Amino acid sequence: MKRRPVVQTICALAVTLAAGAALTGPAAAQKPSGNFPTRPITFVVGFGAGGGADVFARAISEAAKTSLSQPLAVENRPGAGGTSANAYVAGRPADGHTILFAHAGSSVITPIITNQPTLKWNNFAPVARIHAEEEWLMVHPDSPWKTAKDLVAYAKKNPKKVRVAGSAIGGIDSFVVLSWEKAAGIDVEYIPHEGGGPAILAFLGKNAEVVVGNVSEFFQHVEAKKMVPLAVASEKRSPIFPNVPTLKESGADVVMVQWRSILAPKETSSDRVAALAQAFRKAMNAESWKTFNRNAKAVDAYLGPAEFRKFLASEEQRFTKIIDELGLRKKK
Amino acid sequence: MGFLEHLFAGFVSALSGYGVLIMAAGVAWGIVGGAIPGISGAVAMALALPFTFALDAPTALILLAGVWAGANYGGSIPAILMRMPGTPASAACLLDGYVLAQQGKAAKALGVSLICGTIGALISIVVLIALVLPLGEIVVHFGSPETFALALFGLTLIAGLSGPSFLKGIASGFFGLLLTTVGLDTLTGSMRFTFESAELLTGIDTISVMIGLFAVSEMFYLIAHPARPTGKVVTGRTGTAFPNFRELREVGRATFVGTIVGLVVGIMPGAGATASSFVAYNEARRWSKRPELFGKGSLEGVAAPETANNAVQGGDLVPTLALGIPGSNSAAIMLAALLLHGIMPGPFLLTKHPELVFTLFAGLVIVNLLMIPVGIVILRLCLLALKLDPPVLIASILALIVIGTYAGDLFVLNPVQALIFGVIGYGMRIWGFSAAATVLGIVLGVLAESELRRSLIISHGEWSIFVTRPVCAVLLFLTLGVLLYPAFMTALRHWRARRVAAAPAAKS
Repeated sequence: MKRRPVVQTICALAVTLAAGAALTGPAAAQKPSGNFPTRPITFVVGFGAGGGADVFARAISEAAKTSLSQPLAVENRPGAGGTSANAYVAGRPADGHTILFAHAGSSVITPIITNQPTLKWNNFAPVARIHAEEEWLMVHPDSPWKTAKDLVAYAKKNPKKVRVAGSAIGGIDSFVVLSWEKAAGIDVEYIPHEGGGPAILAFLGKNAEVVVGNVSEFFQHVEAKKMVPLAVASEKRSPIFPNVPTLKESGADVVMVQWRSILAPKETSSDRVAALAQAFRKAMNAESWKTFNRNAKAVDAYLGPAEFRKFLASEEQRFTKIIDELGLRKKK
Repeated sequence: MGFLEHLFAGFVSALSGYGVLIMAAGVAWGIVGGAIPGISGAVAMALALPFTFALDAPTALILLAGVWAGANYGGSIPAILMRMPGTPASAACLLDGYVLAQQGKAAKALGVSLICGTIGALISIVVLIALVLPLGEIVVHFGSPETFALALFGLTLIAGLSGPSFLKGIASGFFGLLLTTVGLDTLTGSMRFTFESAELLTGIDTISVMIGLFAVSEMFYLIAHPARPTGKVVTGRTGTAFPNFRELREVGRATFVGTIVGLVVGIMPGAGATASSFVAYNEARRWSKRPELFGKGSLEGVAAPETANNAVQGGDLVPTLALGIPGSNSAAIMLAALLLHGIMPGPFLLTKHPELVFTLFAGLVIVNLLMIPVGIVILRLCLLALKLDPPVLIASILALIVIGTYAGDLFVLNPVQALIFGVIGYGMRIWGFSAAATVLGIVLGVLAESELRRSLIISHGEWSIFVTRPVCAVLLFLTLGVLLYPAFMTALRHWRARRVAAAPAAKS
């Protein structure tokens, strides 16, 4: 008598779990056929809903409705600087029905820093680089520094006095600042935040003299006269604020952009990779995508599978050098 | 157009077409999503996001507002009925809510949570509508030092959650603090306690651990002690009586405290609904006429945290609408929806798209009013679950936990964590440790640690930053006050007693 509840419990548990499995089963059981894609494609994003990566993924997925016969479904698997999504996608069937969001942080920098080579871009099939957003340094409207050179001159005399707000260590923001310190021979205090939004709030509350990040997050604050652009970390001056010089012009050779792209599991066949890349290229002509890019102040920076692979290799080389110079790589 | 015309136009726009139906559907899905463990408000909203592509921007916003409001409330249903917080923010309400359910007052607790939550949300929305721009100026002054001080203030609740042994309570709290240090440290990029496992880089999953410590351990306990009042939770006699007017009046003070806490914490960008609910629980007890009932089935203990976590909604939207910077994950999804509809959120949203913002304001008022009827329908259905046989109920809950914790992030380690912490929670309960104090440590530990370190980077290592900033200094002073007050009172009583004892001795 005393044992009965336990037995009943186990039986009921088995029934409910089986029901749960039955509900999720059919989707996984479909067989791939010659046509591609045959079912909705899962677009895995290693960052939370509502963030820059997520919004990008949803915007390009929406635009891809015009060029793909099947819908793209965004699936957020946040964690570990985006790399838990990498680990997940690496283990998915390489049939082209699972793709992965990738940027420098999640597919190059974090895997190198945390010593997880299996999660790096070269264990995936590069599909396409889609767009790029510039990285800017911004100061307060009443800032004593009118140019990046002024700031560098001050920072040289006052090490650790200039505070720069940005997103977490390992992201592109932190690397812009680290490289800038190295190139200009200065030492600033970097204040990492959980994301771009909190960094801006800290900056607006005068907890930092400088803020670094994507232009989409800054643009309206510049219009509202709460921020003044000081320099951009790009190759050439930006059409967004053409009067603002690049960091390169100020004498520090720092070129870093926030590119956003798509990878697939490593063994995905090249014709499916090509089909996906083609679809994304077409999607970039959609009206909804153009509006999104205009609002996000991003520029299309399409690279097909082969060129994108080359680009990733050069990015890896570049970041490996910076990471090793700074001694950021974690010991095994 | 003046303010009132804008607001009126907003109501017209929100109520036009299928507006009410869409909002009701949003609220219903929000409540259900919030009630499923692992599906937080933000996840429930993200799941609804694809549906908004087919709608115009204002309708999309009011749909998401409905999901948001519903999810704020939904988490408390399993918290009260099954000791299983559906969202982290509902963890504080189970402290008394589940006790009430065991006393056969589940419907009363659920009713209080629904009604007080709605009141809190409505007041916060009204404050938001009236003061969004001035508050937007204030937001930026709540920085890292202030958030750290708030976290410390909240941690004083450990004393209240300790139970019989204060030392074991402190140990439980510190265990929670320790758990938050696992994972990739965002301030330095270093790995802590990850033992070279890629899975642990993410750190522990707050909601899975909460569910493990509270719900799984309770299920183990019910299985191990089947003779115990399992029956009470489950019998058909369980009151389906909703709270009456007198009971609602009794929780008035707690509702007021919860609203204030929710508003203030909501405006602070670093802290969120979860922190607010614990702080509100603590404050409601401090100001209560019957503090001794807390933890033993106090309706005030349900009212305060539930009011606070719903009142956070208005505060979250302050930086979101005034500056274009999301005040929480849920607010971030609202902004994402705007971007995907081709509208750039930012400091000009209110001036460039007033019709949109005022539709959202109106929508927020309406969805919170819709919460009561939609909530009551769903409550009635959930109360049926109590009629199940205990073994069936326990099994269903365990299965729901496994599926739900996996569904949130689609991460196998989460249900594993829930089960492991179920075992730990069971042990803590047997040996007199406080799982609630551990949960508090987890909730506030992340805030306390990262904001303390960030404050010290901001101040170039000067500790004076904590006393030179007024808001921060006041919060720290209050913390010190509530810590020293009991000791001071005891000392005073001792001193008086000794004087009384000494006086006759001197005479003789």
